[in-house]
Amino acid sequence: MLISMSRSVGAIFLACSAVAAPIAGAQQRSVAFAGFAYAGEFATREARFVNSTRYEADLRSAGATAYQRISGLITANPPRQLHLVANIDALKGADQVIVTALVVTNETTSVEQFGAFVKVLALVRAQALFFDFKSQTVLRAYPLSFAYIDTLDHVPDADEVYERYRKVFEGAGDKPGLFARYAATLASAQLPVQVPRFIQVTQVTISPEVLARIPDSFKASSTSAQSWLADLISEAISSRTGVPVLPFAPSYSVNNVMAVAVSDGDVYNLTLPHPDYAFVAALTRLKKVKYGESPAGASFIYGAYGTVTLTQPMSGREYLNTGLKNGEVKLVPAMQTYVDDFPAYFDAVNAMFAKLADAMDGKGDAWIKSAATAPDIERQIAQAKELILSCK
Amino acid sequence: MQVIRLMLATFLFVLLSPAGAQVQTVQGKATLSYQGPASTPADRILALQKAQVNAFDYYYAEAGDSESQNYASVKDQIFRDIDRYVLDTTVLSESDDVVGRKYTVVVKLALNVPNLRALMKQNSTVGSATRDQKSRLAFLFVSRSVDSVKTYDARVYKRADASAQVRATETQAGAQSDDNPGSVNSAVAAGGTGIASVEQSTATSETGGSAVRKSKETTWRIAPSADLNQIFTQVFSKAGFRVQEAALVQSAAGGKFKLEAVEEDYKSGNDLKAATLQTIVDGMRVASVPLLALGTLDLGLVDTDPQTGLYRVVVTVNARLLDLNEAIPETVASVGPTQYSGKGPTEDEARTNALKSAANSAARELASQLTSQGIH
Repeated sequence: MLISMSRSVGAIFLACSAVAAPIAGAQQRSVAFAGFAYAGEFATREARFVNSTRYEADLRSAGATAYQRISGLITANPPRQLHLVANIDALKGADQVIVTALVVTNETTSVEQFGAFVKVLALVRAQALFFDFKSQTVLRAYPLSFAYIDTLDHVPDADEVYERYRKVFEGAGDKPGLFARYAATLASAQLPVQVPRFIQVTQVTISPEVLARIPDSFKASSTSAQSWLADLISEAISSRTGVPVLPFAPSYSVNNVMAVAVSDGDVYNLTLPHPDYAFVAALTRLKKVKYGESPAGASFIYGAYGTVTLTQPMSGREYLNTGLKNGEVKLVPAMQTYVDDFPAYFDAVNAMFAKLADAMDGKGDAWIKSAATAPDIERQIAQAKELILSCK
Repeated sequence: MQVIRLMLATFLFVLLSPAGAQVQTVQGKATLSYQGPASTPADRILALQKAQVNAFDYYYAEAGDSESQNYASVKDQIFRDIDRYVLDTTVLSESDDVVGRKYTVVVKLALNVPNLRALMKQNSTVGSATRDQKSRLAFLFVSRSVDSVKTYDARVYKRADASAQVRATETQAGAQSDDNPGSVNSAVAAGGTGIASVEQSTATSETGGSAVRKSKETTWRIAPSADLNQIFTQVFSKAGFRVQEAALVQSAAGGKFKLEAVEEDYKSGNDLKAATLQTIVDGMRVASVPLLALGTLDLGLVDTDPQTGLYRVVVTVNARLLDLNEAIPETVASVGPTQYSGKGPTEDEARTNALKSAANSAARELASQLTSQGIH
């Protein structure tokens, strides 16, 4: 990320969306669109999602609700595997009533001063959630997120921060916003006819050394950093392989019950199914090494180190158990007086799990052979690939 | 076929759907020991079947004693026609340990709950009985909430005793005549003779007492029971009983009992008075109703659910079912005390949801206990 002097100069988008690969032969299922929702306690949503609720209120006062805005995007990019209906009542009498909603699970704002510069981060994490209305059980979840990073020459006020959130929802440049990403997810999402298999990131650990390099805004509570990492991994797996990944239970549920409050006031207490396959990850080390230097500037390798396991909890069978490392190169111009390391570390961590997901999805294993510590990594990846295929 | 024994099995757990859902998923695991260099297809099929059985066993073990007993009576039928009761079987993992000669498989089953319930009902005594053979069952349930609570301050009794004791002793040194005893505390006189005396005093005090606490007195407000009647009627009817509401039995009981008396008893205590219970029993006998279910559903105070911010109410259920065929009525089924909670955007909705959940579960458990005992 380059930082230069101007009122609002660099804008960087870190965004991924789940791309659910369609499966030939899957039958079209009727799904009701519930709208825009928030995870957790309904009464405190405005305190927890300050900018998201403000954006929603602005839309309403402008005469177009979030529901209508998303519906318009869905109409422009309709689901190929699902038959979407406007409300739940339309499915009354059906054997199974499946409902989908865009559920915002987390909103993170970070304003950090580095010398003369101020870095602003607006991050929204969400889920394209499908649940069974009758049994109030989560059926599928595709993680989504959009991070807008900006550098300013002054500390932004609340309105300026809010403007960044507006871009998170509406998109910026050629990057579609969260609403469009949800619509794109629905466009390719499909629901299995048979009993689905569930993958979930069940546990993440971050070493104290790594934790020290993560901005305070990601450590607002004792589990915030874990939640951030779990969402990052879930999204990497889901977006790269097309496999739904259940929300990280410790962050979004109490006793495996996830509360979802739709903006029209409906509240659902959804049961998260137990995972059939558990993904456990640890982020053990971050490292920065100077790679090269010239009069124009210097290049650095930002390295991320971790471990991952993928198991079937009941049998204890391990599909994956290895250490991993990944390095990403960042160029720093000679004229740049201050270097913010976290975005580069973020890229290294994100790419590590994205590349792992690519390998599990059969998109080449050149990287994994050099990045993994397990001597039998090819056999492990072959097993994991088979498992991922069975979960689609 | 080199199967010599089926080894252990099973760590299983019920997944997904809450109680009452039409499809439930459950996992089962089985490990099969085999002879020969590797497992054969037949070994794997056997292990898969064993994993399915284990999944069913666990599912019904979790459902409680009576459900488990009912399951035992129809288990063979289920596995003779398993496709009728299992909508889908998914192999979650399988591994073949050729060194230890063990094949392990974990499956996930989607159970067709309505078909399983129908099978249980068909095979129960009440299910196979004709309408005339079925007994009539009346139920008398009261839902109530705390109306007033009278608490008493502790009655405190305190006591303090004090006593004092003084003791003096004298000793004589040297020559001294008996008629001149000297004075207390005098020093020994020059020349070697004198009297010494020591005075000792002791003061003792004892404090104590007691505090008597009287337990609180609670009175109850009886809540409308239309919803409860609906749920109990539905559950017992589905289980195959001829259900009659106590309010309707009252008129056929020849004036032997009055529901008002029952409600009055439950306003001030957790049990019916012996006299009230006897009048009900007499009335039921007059009306030829041999089975009587009765109990209370006590609504707790409303609080806020920390997870959702919704109102939350807890209901405590106590219920029992009496067989009035005997000279002395016999309790043939009982439930509770068990707690259920309900949530809702308003207090009323939270209460209704809690009562529905509690009534449904209690009625199901009572009906299941009757079925497992062959009572119809």
